[in-house]
Amino acid sequence: MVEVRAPNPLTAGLAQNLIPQPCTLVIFGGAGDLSARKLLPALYNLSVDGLLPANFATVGFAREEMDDAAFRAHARKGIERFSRRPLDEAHWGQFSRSLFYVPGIFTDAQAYAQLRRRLEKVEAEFGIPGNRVFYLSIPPSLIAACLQQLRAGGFVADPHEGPISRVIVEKPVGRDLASAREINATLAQTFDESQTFRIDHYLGKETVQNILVLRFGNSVLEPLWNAKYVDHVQLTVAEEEGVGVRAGYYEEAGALRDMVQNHILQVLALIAMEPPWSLDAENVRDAKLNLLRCLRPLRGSDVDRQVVRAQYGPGYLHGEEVPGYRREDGVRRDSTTETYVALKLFIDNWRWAGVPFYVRTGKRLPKRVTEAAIQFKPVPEILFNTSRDAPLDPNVLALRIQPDEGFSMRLSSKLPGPKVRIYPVKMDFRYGATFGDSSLEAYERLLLDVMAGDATLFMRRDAVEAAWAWVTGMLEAWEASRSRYLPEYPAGNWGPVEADRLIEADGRTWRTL
Amino acid sequence: MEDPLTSAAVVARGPEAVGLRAVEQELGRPWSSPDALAGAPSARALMGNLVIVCRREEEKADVEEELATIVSQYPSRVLLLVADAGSQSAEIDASVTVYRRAGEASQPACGECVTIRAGSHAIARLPSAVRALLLGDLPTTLWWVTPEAPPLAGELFVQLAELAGQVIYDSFAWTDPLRQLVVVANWVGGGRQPVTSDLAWRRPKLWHRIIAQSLDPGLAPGAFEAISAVAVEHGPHALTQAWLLAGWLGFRLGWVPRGGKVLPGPEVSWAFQSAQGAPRVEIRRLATGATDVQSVRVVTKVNGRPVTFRFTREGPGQVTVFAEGLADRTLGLAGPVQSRAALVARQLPDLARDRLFESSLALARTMAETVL
Repeated sequence: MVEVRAPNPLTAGLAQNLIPQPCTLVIFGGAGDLSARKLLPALYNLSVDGLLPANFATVGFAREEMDDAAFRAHARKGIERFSRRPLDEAHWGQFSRSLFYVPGIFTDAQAYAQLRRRLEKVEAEFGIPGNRVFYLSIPPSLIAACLQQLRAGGFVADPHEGPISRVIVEKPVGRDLASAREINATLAQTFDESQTFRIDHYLGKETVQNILVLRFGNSVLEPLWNAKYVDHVQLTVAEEEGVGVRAGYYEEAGALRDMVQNHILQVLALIAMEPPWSLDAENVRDAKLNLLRCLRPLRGSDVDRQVVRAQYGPGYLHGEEVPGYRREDGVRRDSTTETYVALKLFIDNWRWAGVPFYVRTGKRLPKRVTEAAIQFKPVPEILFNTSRDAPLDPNVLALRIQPDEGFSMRLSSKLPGPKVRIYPVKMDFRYGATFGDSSLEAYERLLLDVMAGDATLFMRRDAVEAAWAWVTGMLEAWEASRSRYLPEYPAGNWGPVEADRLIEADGRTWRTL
Repeated sequence: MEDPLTSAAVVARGPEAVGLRAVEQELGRPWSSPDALAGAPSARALMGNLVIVCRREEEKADVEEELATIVSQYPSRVLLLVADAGSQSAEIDASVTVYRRAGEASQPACGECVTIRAGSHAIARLPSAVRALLLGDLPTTLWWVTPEAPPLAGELFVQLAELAGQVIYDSFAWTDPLRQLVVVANWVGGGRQPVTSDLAWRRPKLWHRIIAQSLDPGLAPGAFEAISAVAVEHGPHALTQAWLLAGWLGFRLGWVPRGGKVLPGPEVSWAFQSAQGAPRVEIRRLATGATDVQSVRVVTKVNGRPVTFRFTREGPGQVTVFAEGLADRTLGLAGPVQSRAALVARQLPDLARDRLFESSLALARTMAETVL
């Protein structure tokens, strides 16, 4: 639900769904990569669309020595390279005047005093009534120090009265359950949960949001969305890229922490949760949490049976030779960090009892694709499905999250001719082909949501911890394992043979993507 | 900045002259004809039917130039009617054009346009042609292009509106805006009518936003309650735009019109009654300048101090605000400049009734009736 502090009769009924509050966005790590690639281009696009309030400014805060002009140049470069809209000189002039920068060390109280003075000046200049959003685009290790300084410096207002204070925290929140709890506890010392926005940009994607519409807006689907009709579900998040420049982070994280704990479990929750009774943020988040709590724990020997981890070796991608993980810059030569995970999970509730969910994610796979596929049970072996040698292909509803967002449905159809020959037909729906408009990018949508106080697409503390609690069983099993064996898959392939065996043991196969 | 909607990604094939009964066959040819397979669209994904009514060839030509933008955003079957009362022809002739997305491997069709011309003796038959060509299971919108209040068109409008879930018109450049506004408002208020949208209501979106933001109780406590005067200036042809803006303000703030008069200028002014006082509203037409709202002045008090908000159009898609007596800065808000095609394309999927528009229109009608 969109927050309204004081009633404004003129905003009622306007077509704009999200009414962002006048505010200053403070980007901790404003000189960094995320800021240039995503945040500043997102703000620019929102500004071009007229979706930002007139009383709005951005202040970058980071240790790099930089003045306003240099920060604006940094922003301009990022917008020129990464914005979905080309930079328009006329608009840039106005937008750039709302960008400011304060250099400072995140642990230095003096820097925060300087930040405060600058904020007050900017707020006076733009008529911003003290509303502030703090975007912590910084390493997790610095979060506690920043929060402590914000608290000590009196930057954070009461959640129920006075100006608005909100904080945005990037995933991953922690690296296991214990550290996630610690970070959440630290966050809670400074910000109320209602002021805390844990961002996972996957949830800002149009197709992810459409999962709810598809499920609960179409009466033909929901009655089939259960163990009676669904044979199994496959979730794939495949990346072409290797570890790139993120080796430092990735070596400590691995695929399970980087992808499964957050993106995949969030998408899984939307696909499998019970219908919320309203679209109010808390109701949607309650439904997701309930689903996460139904995940059957994977611990000890379950992990050996149901989880495969692997690492990419050298290989070819799009015909080009690429190195193996251990030859990437910044990666230990004896690293056992997994770059691929495949697993089988069960959801122990009435709806999904006995339905396996197969999940796979990895780096250096043949193509970049994210999809969730619901495979329905085959029709009975009578009429058209009598041949054991050539059974009918079961119906599959595939939700493509990226690229080419959309969904497809595989149906059986009769081939023309005198004989009854059945052939699978794929009915394809692509957003790009049907809805021509380029919608808001994930960060644009999510930043707007924070300014409007709508937490629906953000992860709540209990859900983050529930996800970690489930993942931690696997992490502990790996930790305890004496085996140093880590399967390898050649870069440019769909994962190790062990992953194929995992699903084939159940008489199923991974989808060809 | 120009609206990012673009027609560049869409290519058109046609028009091909065709008899009315052969339209479906002609439109299906890319899928059925073996010689049309090379480069032919392989898929069709349409969101709706769009029935467009023009009165003259020039209007039709303008619309044809806009269609690529519209179907790129809202893939549709377009029935472009030219109901030319000036022609004595009793014939109906038709042609078809297919639009498809360039740059996509499958080149999906995103639009198909059937242009149907009818002279004065054939206009009455147009609705029957439309009924036969509408695609089932898809929403239908009627876009009344010709600059007249649609209900004044009589039977043609009545029959076409019955087929539509939405009617789009544009009060921009109406020749007798006050009387036409009253006619449309009466029709909209009559009940059982389709969803109705005036493009002149959509255009000043930026004005709605910046006025709402600037007078927000969080920034300007007490400003809404203490408004004593509002003055709107507009360029040529933008009277209804200014009028609807005033209607919106009055409706949302709960004002009741007590009387109005037309002054030389030309200028129209009203006295309102609000819970806290008697605000006055003036709308003045400027002889020159852009065909848009040019400025809005709101005289009020913030925390008891006299403040005048001056909203000014600085250029296409740019509005600034200066709060005299409150701050010494000018703030701005910019938004995309939307062409008529872009406005229509964005309105088409909006199938919900816009209660705010209807209520603002109703108050604008009351305001009009006090000065007629």
